[in-house]
Amino acid sequence: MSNPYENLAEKAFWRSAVADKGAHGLERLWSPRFEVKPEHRIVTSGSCFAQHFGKALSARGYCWFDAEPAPPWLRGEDASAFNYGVFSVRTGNIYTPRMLLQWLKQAFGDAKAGELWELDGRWYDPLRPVIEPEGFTSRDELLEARHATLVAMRKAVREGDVYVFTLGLTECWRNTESGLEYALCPGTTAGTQFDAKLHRFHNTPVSEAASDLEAAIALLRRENPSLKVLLTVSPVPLIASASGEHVLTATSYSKSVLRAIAGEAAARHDNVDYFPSYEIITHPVFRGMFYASNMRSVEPQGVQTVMSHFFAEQERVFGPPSSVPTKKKKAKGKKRKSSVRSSDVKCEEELLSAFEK
Amino acid sequence: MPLRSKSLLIFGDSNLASVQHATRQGLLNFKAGQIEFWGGAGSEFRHIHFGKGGMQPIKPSAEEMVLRVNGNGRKRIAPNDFDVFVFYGVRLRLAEFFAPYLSLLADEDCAVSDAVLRCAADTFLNDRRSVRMAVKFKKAGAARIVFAYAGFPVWGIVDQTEEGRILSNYPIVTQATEKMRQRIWNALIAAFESRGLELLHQPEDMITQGMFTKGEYAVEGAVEKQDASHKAPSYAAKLLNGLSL
Repeated sequence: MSNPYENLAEKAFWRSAVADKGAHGLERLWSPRFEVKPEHRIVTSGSCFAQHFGKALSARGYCWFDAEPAPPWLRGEDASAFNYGVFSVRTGNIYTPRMLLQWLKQAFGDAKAGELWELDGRWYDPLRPVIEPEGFTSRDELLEARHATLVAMRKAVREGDVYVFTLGLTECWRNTESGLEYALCPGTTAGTQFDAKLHRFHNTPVSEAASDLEAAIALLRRENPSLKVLLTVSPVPLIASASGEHVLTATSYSKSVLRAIAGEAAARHDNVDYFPSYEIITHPVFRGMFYASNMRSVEPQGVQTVMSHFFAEQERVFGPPSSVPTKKKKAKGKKRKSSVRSSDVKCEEELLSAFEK
Repeated sequence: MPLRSKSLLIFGDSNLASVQHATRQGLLNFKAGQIEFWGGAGSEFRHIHFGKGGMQPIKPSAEEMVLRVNGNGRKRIAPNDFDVFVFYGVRLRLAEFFAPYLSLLADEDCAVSDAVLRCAADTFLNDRRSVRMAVKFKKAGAARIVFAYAGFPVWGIVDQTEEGRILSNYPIVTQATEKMRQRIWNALIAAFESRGLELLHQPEDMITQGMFTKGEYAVEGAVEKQDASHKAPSYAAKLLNGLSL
């Protein structure tokens, strides 16, 4: 008599798929639902692990969508310090589904300034309090920056092909009166003092996190029906928990909730997928090898392994990627140089005529 | 005992021509004791380097040019040779900085904070050879170094919408306001000051169309030569008459 397990693929059985393969031999961890092509505009947002994703895609020649690029001459570490080039839009980390939903609602609906922080003459955005290392010089400067970011977010969503969102936390802090969810606990960064009456801890339950994520996906799809959403869960443990639980068990709770809602969302929507970067870093089969000695930071080798699974599974399902788009900047640079040379000739003449004897 | 008039060296590139003409025409009204010119145009300017505590040409052709410009046989400039050094023009090309930033500031959907602007101004100046040279010269003991900006391109000389020119890449800059320009000047002035240098910026009443110099300051024959870069002596006079000695 046959049973449902008889004809299952090798990957369905622990012994053949995991025990026999070992950590470095694992394959088919992911069966991508849609192709991510090098020419697709890929938007990344979310928890800090999403930064690695964007960088790895760029390094591979994929089109990471920088919808709010750093202004000229703001480069490297300076650009990072001002949070340019970190995510596709200059939002800073978006840890929770609610935070993503708040940003999307601001971008596509109610863009009221809401609560803003001012301390010692500097202004801070509660949605991204560390976006400017020293805060903004004025309320207007803050609001202009917020407006620019919302414009960039609309652009990213409407013009993007793939939206990668890395879920990070369930623990958060909210305003008791307005319900606003803060990016970080007030008082832990510059901008405002912690107020126990106004600032309330909240550990998002599964149902609420799922509902927020669902609403965020609906908004994304409303603005761009062809947008594909790729969900991941950050493998980086909580740095601290205000839940009263041990930070290790609190991390388990948080990540379990996020992993569950990501799986559910992927199961519910055709154009939503879950990529298991979380499992690749955290699963016991890897024996924590991708973590630094603090057992929190992910080593570059871990990121590399995650991305190699990503590209390998994409290629397995959809074949080798088409040619990587080439950058067109070189031609411009050459032209500029030649125009400098021709102006040199003019300069020479100009000076010689002035100082002729 | 009467105060000694300060000695002044005006070091520069081809833009020195307008200063020289202004001097000859008696348009400069500041009171300096000894004034000398020193520098070279174009490629020869690039062959003036800082080394062994001073600035000197490193190629015979540049030396020939420097001697011709100076007229006093001064091949090398040491930090204590003059009280004030004006770096005039010196291929600073601030329009390259203004164009993208005015474009961002004039676009209501973009934003640039003062802190970002200041940081970018620092990097921009780090990339300028003449600024790096001035920093070394200052460290070597120069008392005062003032950069004098030779001005935005003159309006109405060439078609600025042609490919590669300012308006082809940054058409919105014509809408830039004085307030926007002031934010950029402030960032640049602060970036210069952090290096112990000064910036003499283009006076506001010489600017038109966002970031161009008014046509009246064009060099003689500018249209025929299609030269929007060089300026008339009146430009140099107006700029340098703002220098306090």
